[in-house]
Amino acid sequence: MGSDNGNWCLIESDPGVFTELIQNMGVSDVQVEELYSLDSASLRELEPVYGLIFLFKWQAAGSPGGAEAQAGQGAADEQSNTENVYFAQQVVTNACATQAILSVLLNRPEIDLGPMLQGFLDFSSELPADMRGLALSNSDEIRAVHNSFVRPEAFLGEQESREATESDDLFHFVSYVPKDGRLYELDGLKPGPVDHGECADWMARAGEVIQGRMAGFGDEIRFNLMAVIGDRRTALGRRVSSIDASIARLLVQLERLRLDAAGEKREKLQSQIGRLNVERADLEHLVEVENNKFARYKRDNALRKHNFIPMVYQMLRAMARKGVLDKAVEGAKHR
Amino acid sequence: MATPLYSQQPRRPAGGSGTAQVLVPGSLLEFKAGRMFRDGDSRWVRPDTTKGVCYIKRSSDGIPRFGWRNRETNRDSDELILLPGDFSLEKVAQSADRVYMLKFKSSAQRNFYWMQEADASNDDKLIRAANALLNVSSDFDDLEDDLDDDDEAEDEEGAGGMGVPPLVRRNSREAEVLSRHREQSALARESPGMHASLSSAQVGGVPGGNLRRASRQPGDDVTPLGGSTGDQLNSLRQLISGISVPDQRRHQRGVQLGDVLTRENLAAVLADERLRRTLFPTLPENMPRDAAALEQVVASPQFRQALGSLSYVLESGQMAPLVGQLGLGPEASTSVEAFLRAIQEQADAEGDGSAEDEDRDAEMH
Repeated sequence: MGSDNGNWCLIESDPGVFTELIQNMGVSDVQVEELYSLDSASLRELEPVYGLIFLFKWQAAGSPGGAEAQAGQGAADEQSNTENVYFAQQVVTNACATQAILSVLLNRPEIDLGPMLQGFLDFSSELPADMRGLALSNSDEIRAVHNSFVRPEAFLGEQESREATESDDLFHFVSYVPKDGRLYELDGLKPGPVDHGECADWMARAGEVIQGRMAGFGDEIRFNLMAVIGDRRTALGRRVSSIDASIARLLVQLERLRLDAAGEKREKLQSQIGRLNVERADLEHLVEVENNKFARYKRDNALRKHNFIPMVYQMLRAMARKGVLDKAVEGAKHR
Repeated sequence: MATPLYSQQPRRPAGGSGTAQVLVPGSLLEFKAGRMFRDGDSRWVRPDTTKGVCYIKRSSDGIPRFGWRNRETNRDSDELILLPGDFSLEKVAQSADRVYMLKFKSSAQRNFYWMQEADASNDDKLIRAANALLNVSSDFDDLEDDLDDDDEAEDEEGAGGMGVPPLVRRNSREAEVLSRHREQSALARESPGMHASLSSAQVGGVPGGNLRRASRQPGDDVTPLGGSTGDQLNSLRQLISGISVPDQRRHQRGVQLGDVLTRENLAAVLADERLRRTLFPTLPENMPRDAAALEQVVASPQFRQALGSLSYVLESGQMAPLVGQLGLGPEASTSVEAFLRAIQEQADAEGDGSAEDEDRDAEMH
């Protein structure tokens, strides 16, 4: 790794981190959710879903996961047109989380990228895949956002961490995005996009592909799956507004009915309004859940970036003054 | 709010003979119950007739866990870390049957269970006990310690002020809950007439956890847990982010900061208002300056992770410059234990902490 690549810190694979990373790159109305189920129903609940990011322990070529991906590539036919797909090869290991996120964002024109990423897209789209990867690793702006998630005490053990990553498990991110009615797998370690063929329902297809990969991994593999989706609160807010409009319409109808007093029809309208109100309350609960979640993300991310050394020192000092430190140390020895 | 939930009447367990026994060793409370799953993506839940048991356990990290065990295979699933105040276990009002819902404030996840205890008249008591056990604030774990520690009466008062129920009440509550638990187990009857026929696949799954495994190995201690706290999860996070702590177990030689700065050990400090004040300036900027914030931080995986890194760095001698800045001698940077000893000596040398002393500390940052 050349020194002009700059250093990219390792960041946690966590929806709160990814969401804030995307926000800090200036993208509006996008968040990341961790997925626990691949069934279409739970995915559809999150619409709009822009793409999926799959994290797993990286295995050298010849692994079952790799074979599956190759098969997918084989299925590519003459309709496959990977030229429309934005693909960048990965040149910096630790940048892979950001790279996986960009693989989704830069392939969905409906997303408002903001000046930082739009600028990067405009600049790099004419480049070949390997040069795009290099351009990313050289982007000071993007790297600065990525590196804002470094843990403050990590620098202390920097030497160590580099050795550790050599021998430790390597994790790798792969993105799945739809483009022109086909599903593509974007893996920065491959020469180009892997075409998984035409599909009416790209999420269902991605589910099959990912499940196939997981099955090939055997028992020991750790993985997680995240979805890059539209801001839930925006989506939920839209649904609330449309319910409000419907309720208003029904209320007007009800008002008119009063004049000619059609009992049965009135009851029907009232029960419709009742149902809509229940649905509205459910949506508002979900908005509340989202708000709580964002508050938690904010707190967790502040803690991630926090320098705990003064706190640890003051806590130990307080324990020493309270006369409970010695006992605690003795207790710790016998753990 | 009338959520149109509906439950189909589960087949009633036939009364049979069974032996009263604890089904989940180490549990604080358990009750026989089956799970219920959403019917597709509808708002309807249907009972799964597998015989099971819901249990509440406390693990070594002091955080209560709620789980469900299949009584036929003895396999656990649904094991969740529940943060006090984040959830409630309540009866589903829309159903006339013995259906209960575990509902979270921080997520849309809802788990449904139906009672399989033979005696329905105990349901309310059991659910109340479960809520009480799970919602007891963080230092529930100190119970035994507190019992044989009479000299900390002063701290207890402080703890009461922090929203922790007074010791006496907590003790009697646990005693009450435990005796109820025994009584309940004695009342419990097996229901031999039931056969498992789980048709639907698991819905939803594990909330909040960072990682799952493709499958669970026997004896595997990495449980696919929910919730975002806990050391297990934390060590998994470290694995993923690959940061400076290679493998705690391999490198663990002496005392680790994480074993010293436990919630239990810090309880005495956090209960002391003067000492608490010295910690406020070290909180992240956007957090309130109060006891609850400190407790949150102490329980957070980020704090635990930082302790792991710091221990490692101390042991490897890379802390020397920082240790100097803290006014500690060079020997303090040779190991965690030496660091702790130096802090104790520093505190001893400065006397027993007058008010002025603490004000100075508070302004240090």
